[in-house]
Amino acid sequence: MNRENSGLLLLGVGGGGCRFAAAARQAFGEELAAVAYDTDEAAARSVTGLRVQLLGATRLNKQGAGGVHANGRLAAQDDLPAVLAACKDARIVVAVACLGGGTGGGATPAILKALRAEGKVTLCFATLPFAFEGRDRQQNAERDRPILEQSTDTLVLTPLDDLYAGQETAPLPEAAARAEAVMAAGLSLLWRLLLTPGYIAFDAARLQNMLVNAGPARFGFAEASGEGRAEAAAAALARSPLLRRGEALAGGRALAVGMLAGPDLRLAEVGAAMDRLRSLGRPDCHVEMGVVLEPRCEGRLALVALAFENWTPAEARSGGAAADGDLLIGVAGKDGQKDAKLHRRSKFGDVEATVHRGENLDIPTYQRRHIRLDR
Amino acid sequence: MGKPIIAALEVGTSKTALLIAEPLAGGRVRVIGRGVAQTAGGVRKGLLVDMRQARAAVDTARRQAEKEADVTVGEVLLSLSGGHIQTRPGEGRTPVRDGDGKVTRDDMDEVQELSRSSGLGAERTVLHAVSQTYSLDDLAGIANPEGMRGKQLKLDTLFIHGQRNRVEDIINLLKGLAMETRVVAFSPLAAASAVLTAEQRNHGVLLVDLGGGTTSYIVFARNVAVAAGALGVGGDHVTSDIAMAFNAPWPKAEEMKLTEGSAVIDPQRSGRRLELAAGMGHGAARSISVKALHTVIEARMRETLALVREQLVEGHHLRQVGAGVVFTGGGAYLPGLDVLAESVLGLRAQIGEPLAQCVEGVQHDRVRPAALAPAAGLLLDGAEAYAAESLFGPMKSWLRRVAGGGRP
Repeated sequence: MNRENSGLLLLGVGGGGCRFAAAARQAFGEELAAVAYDTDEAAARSVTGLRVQLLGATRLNKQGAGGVHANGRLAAQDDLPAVLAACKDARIVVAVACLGGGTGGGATPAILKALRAEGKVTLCFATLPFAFEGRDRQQNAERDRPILEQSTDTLVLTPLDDLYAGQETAPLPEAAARAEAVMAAGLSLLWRLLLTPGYIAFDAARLQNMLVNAGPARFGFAEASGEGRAEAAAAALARSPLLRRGEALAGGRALAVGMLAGPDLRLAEVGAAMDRLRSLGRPDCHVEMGVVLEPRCEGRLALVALAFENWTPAEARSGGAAADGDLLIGVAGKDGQKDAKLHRRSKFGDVEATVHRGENLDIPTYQRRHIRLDR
Repeated sequence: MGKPIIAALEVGTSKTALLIAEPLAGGRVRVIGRGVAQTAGGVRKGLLVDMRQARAAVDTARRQAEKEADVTVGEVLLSLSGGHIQTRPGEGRTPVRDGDGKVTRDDMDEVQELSRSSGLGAERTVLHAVSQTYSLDDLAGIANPEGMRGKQLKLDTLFIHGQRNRVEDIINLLKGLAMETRVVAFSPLAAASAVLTAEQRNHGVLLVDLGGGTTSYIVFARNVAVAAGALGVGGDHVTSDIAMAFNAPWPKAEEMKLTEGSAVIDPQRSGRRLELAAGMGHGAARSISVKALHTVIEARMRETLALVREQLVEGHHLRQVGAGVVFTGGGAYLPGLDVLAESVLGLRAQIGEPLAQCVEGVQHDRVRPAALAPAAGLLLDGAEAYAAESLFGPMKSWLRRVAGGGRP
């Protein structure tokens, strides 16, 4: 898979989302395909390294959504054809947005819902407002959160308080830069894992499988250098507020770990880091991992983890011997959670499911009947 | 006073169709205005999900039909379906009042009145109360008991009812467009008026309306509608299955269904492959096996027909069907459907297009006739009702019409 044809697209929505997307692109390079949308022209112009398009310019007069969810949603709906056209070649769309405001909270679900209706797999990184931002923004975010959860395959929520933890005494620009760097490191590692041929690969099909089969997730990042870097990074990850100081790892049903290190990484270090992380989780936790080696990371090791609250193992690919790159949908069977997720992905996600004798008929029959497709 | 016109509207999941007709002699109608618009997401599984889009579709269809017919539509007969539509049996009983035990027309009217008490909750609305057959004491299955002797008269009724809010949503939408809804009819029952012959109704026939969001059906036996139902599964599910199986965007999946689809694996075509250009859902260009496409479609269609069969077998209605199955709706034209129907239902199948001797001019350049069967049937029912109004009073004849009869 070449870097231009990854099938992966980063989508920044709203002021915060656009900044995070720009930071991730900066961290990876211009080959990271990204698009960004905001409703506020002034904020859009302040983003560097990524051209931000305006949503609902006529409706909102380029002045932003004013913290109103409906404004964000309507603005997105106004420009959906353009957004869908920009995303048409993507197979997996990774969205990033900040909840609490009108554009991040209102436009993001509208866009993701439309993308899923087009058959895209979606992953959404969303932040929750700082506690000090007050009750209104918190309430906005709490109201938008379930809508967003319904609109995407997997939602990764990160409270800004956790993202900025440890930066409380740093000057504000520095703290903001550090937080953006953490998010950018996490997002760009996803691209690195998928696009860089590694010794331990994590491919797009495996990512899709996790997104479709796993539930909401927490995102964590930690790095260490020098002797004992593997154990130190794993220990730092376990202590990270991003992963609720180990709670997300302990209770997670599935874990995706990306490891970025220099070519000096030893196999024993990979084992040590993974053993440490596995020891913190449930014995039945499903683990996927990938390793990327880059010369510029000599002496260092960074770990990025997605700890999923839910996981439904894909017993078998319903289509049997699917061609390379085919979408991994999994088998619906009688599993309510996966059924619900598949239902949301289908065209009928916005109406009550058609259920007959406990079977959700909105899920393709060939999948429920485990019919092999002779492709 | 101008010539009377009748307008029939169907707000379906895929399309909204409005036909305007003028009544002709002998209960026939001539279509003089046709309007068809894509419902475009306004309706899902027969339910309104986006008032704005649905309103736009109705408005477009109305403008087209009004322009062609050069009339203004102020009231419509509405055909609808949806997974919320259900049936329930009912009955009315009354003692025969005549001293010598002879059933009179008054007894029959009274038992008919009594049988219309559905006992349904306020959240449901009765679309049709279809009179079945009378029983007189121990003798059942009487079509007309007038003059027969007995003590107690009973009339069985089939209630076809829907969720009140969902039905009122559509009525209110039409009100907003200055259109009054004169009658609301269940789609397959309306379609039956246009596509079934009296002989078919008498010998027993199953009519299945394969709509975009709903599959609805009705069974006639001995001229009476004896069973009906609706499933929230339709042609959109076939498209959705194709889209998910091949990771294809919706329009491409719909195109594959329409141009290459088959309800059974077609050995003549199963070795072929379809090319999908780059950027269609999946980044790279690829090809799809026609056999796999047919497998996906067959799985869905076989299941859908099996669900209809299951419901009919439970009510012992399948064995009353002697004249086969008639398919209406856009799905009726799916190649191989007759083979599949024979396999699943054990019935000979045909496509139900409005009978030419009853409806003139139903042809449309973009929609095939079976997809317009419900609207065409409503035109016929409307023509009959209008003609009968002077004799029986408004709409009384409507109720009689849907209970039996049929086209010559």
